[in-house]
Amino acid sequence: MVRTAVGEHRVDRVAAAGAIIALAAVLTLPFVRFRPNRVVTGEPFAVTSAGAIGWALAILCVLMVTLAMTMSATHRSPVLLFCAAVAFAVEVWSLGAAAGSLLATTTGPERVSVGAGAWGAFAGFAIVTFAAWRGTASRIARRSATLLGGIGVTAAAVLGGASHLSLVREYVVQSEVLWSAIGRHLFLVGGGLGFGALIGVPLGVAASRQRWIRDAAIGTAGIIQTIPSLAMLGLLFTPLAALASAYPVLRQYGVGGLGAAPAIVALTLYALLPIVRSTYLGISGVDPDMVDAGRGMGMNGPQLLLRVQVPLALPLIIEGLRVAAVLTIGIAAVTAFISAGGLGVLVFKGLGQLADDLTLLGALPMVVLAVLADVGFRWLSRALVSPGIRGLPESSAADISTAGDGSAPRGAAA
Amino acid sequence: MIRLEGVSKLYGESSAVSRLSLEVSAGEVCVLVGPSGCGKTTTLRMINRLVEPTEGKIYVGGRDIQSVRPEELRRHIGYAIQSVGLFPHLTVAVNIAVVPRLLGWDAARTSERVGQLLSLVGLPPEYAEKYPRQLSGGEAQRVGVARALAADPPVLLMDEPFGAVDPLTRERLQGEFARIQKELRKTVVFVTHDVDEAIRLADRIAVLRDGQLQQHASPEEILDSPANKFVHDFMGADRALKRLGRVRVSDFMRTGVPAVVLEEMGAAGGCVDAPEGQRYVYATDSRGALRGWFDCAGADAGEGLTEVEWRGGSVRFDATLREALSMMLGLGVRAVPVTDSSGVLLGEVALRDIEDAMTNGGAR
Repeated sequence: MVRTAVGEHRVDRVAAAGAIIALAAVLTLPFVRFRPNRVVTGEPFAVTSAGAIGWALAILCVLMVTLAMTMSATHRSPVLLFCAAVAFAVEVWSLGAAAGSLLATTTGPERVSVGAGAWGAFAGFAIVTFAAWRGTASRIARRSATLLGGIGVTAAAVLGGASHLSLVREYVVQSEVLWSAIGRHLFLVGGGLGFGALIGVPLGVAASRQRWIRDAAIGTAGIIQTIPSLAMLGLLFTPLAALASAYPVLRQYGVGGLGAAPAIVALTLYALLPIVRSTYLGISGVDPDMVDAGRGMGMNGPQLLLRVQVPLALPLIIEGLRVAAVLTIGIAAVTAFISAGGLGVLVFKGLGQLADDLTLLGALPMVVLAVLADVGFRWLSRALVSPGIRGLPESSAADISTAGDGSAPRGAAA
Repeated sequence: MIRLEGVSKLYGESSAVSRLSLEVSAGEVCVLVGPSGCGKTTTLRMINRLVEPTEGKIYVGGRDIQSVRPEELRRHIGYAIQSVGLFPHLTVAVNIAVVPRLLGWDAARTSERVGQLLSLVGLPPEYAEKYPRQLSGGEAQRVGVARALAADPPVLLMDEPFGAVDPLTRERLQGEFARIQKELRKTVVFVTHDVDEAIRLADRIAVLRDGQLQQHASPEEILDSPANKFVHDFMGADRALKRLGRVRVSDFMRTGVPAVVLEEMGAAGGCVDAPEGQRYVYATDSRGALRGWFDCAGADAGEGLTEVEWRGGSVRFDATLREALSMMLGLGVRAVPVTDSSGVLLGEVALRDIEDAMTNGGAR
């Protein structure tokens, strides 16, 4: 591709890659699998099993590849964004149509599940969406594409017969279990995050005042962060079990080596590092002239903290909470091993039974929760941070989030 | 109003301020000047206990400040600093209201006060809802001054409050500060390293060097008879010119200068009725506003010039003799007209008046 002087016709490489991935996945990998019952792998079927709408999906992929590579940069991104929104809906429709036609002659425990090709296509569309979203400046275009995608996917799911899909059938069977698991998961994460904030924010403030507290708190929290989550639960088992047998009254409150209490203790410990560190950085990063002005006007210590230092550090403090939330949503899955409940139960049960649908039923809500937490805390930051400083300390915020996100996979992998 | 008695501040072995005694009377502007590191900011910060003296006593309003809680003391002393120190997360109104809120004023009284202060420092009322990052440097400095004045404290401490703006804005802010001070008569301790600023604003100047007071006197006295070579050198070689910066044109202007109203002027020109020895005759419109002048030097007796000369040369009554002199040198003339703020001719100031001012010590 020749770069022109103005860069008008340069290829949107990211969007093109996403569209090519989607196209390749749709054409070469099995779109759905037909399985005699919920635990066997079953045989693959191509996208053509969906009929005409399947062909439409393939054509849409080709269209997106073409647009990403040939369209001029001025209108490319919004167009691609709308294409991706439509593509999501068409794919959901295709999955339902394929499942409907494959199951048309059966009545027993047969199932049709989402195949590798369909997952690949979803991933490809997600990449296109990401690239196109970044390139679309207009908020109206962004919102209407989101609305179109949401309505389209919902309509396609209802009208296209997504209820035939294995995952949806599994959900119908397990919905009560799933929703209570989601509630339990939120309870664990909320507990860990709540205690983490109650301890971490004051500790971060103290760390900004006293050097030794800073060294001790951030050092300790850093060490805690390196302990694999499963090992942490093992380490907590003995002292908490001993505590419960020494003071049996504590058992009433769930204290013991197993259950929610040790899980929340572990999650609190993991939440500490991002919260303490970001609070410390936020408070100690406040311009010394601000502190001088506040003191010079007669503020006492608490007034200075609450009226000047905390409001100025708020973007970073909320950023720390966001990182901690995403982190603990992942780690909470592991606490299923010590009978704490949560979405991890579904994942591990599904893995044990080789029931892929059950595993997905546990894993997908976790992804959704993590994304919602991320979006929620960003929204909270916009709502709470004063317009006078909004968007200023971005660089330091980015430092923390990369450090925090880097440790997230460790928790999930343990 | 403020009295320092033998005040010293030691940081380890080195002393920032040593055995400093100073008295600032009520309603007076005392400017602390000196090179950087001379202890002027430390001295200022000891007055509101942001720095605690190692030895010595400080009294504000007759009370030993050690007997007052620091927060209580500071709420009754206005404080403005060089970087302005406005809180970026608060609006202008809330910034100004910081001390009133600490003192527990009710909302109505506070917002009324904010309105008064904005108009006092010359900012429109809609600035109340702006955030500091929406202000220019000069506007931010004005808000800083308004904030220091918010609770109407009798004493103001100002640490290079006009330090962070361009020279033109600084001069305007200095002029406004002088106007506000004339009205409010606060007791002000003002730190600067800018000698011109000190001379312009001070009632009394305290020159510091290495934490020691070199001289504490009126600007005229310091310029006329510096106590030692350091003060002499620090004030600079243009001391005579700096003296002129203290003297207002209005104190030396001659009134009743010959002027003709252009609309009523006869065909013979403006120099016809000029008294002997009067080189310039001013031209005004019927309202009295200056329009220009006739230079009668080249005119033979009885024959006037009709051409009005105008080179933009006039000074306002509240300008300094230094500015008037600068204008004369720039225009190559020996006198300039003086106007009021609306441009109406009041009189003129001539080079020989300035010479008198210099030789007579500028008795005002």
